[in-house]
Amino acid sequence: MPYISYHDKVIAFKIVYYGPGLSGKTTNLTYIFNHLPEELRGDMLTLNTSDERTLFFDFFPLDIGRIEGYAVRFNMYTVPGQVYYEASRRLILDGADGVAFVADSQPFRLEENIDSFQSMQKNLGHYGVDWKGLPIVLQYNKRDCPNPIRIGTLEQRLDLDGIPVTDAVAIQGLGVMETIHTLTRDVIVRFKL
Amino acid sequence: MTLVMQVRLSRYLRLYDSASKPPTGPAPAPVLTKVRKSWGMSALAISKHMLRSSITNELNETDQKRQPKEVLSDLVVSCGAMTALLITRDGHLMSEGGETGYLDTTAMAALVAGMFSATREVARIVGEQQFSILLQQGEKRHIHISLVLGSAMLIVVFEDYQRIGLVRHQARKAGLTLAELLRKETEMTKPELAPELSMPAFKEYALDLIDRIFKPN
Repeated sequence: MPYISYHDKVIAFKIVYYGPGLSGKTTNLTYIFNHLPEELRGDMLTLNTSDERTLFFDFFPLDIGRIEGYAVRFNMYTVPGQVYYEASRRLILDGADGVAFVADSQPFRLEENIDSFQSMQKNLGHYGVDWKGLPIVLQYNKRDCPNPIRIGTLEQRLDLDGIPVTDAVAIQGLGVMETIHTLTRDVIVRFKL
Repeated sequence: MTLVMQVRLSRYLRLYDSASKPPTGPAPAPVLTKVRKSWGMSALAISKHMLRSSITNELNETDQKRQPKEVLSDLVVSCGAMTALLITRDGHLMSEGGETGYLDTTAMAALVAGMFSATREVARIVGEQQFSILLQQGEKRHIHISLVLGSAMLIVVFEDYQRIGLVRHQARKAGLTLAELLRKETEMTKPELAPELSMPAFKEYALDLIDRIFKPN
């Protein structure tokens, strides 16, 4: 459920990039940030460890414009991917209106993708959210790696029939905009007051 | 982690010109709250009853007609603070009062919500449900954060640490008023709040904007 201020006429949606460590969540967010007109976006906030890994979250607000008198905003977050930051991931999912799940296509990371998706399902459940009712896009990132996992593998293993899927090489910007485009459209289509 | 976030927060506070500090007001008289004990109620019901009683007892009619922005502006004046912000638990800025030109309020809301959530987890680890107040003490500026109804947070940025008692007292009072205003808003239905908002038209325009902003070439 997005934040709505009827008095100040603001509607704000929360978009979260989720996935295993080093799958490319921050790369996605940074690409989007760098390719949006400056007047649409606020400053990007990053909370990194000393080795540039995401510690708590990356964040930037995106104002898409005023619609029917309401200022419409997407607040874009990433979660830290490393296994031991599970508590942080759960906190950032609180109030999410849509999730981009960034999977790593390298074959040896298949199980980590599965574990991460299952942790997302569990963490959403912590807030009483059924993941099946939430707009989610599955992005297969790093499609340029040797022998990438077959598209469809995660859907099959996790029983994700019908989930929107994109493929990407986020570091080159490929598939990044398709992912956020698909996700934000789905968020708006499902939006109810 | 908290240390890192404190550093970040202090970055957002650093540009303030102390010469333009808002005027201070006299300390108001303490407010006494009477709570009647209700026999036969469950512990949860009693606690909800106590909360509701304390809210209604302390709010006068004028308070109940005010908007959050006015409550925040009055809070800033009454305790000599710089800024007061009301944010949601998941990091959206709801309203602001006082001087805000020196800080990025959107980033501040996201950071404080994250910080408060992290502290709630810490509270659970030590056997508490949550810590209802957080105080960040800096060299020149300090932040007092308190929960409002469990779903929102009230942030007060102030400079004179000797006013901490006053800040705490006024923040508690303002929190009760804000809680009542938020509760009333949640009770109102959508047609009352946004009679002009047409969902089909909203979605059509929003999708068009999204197509223009994100659609790959």
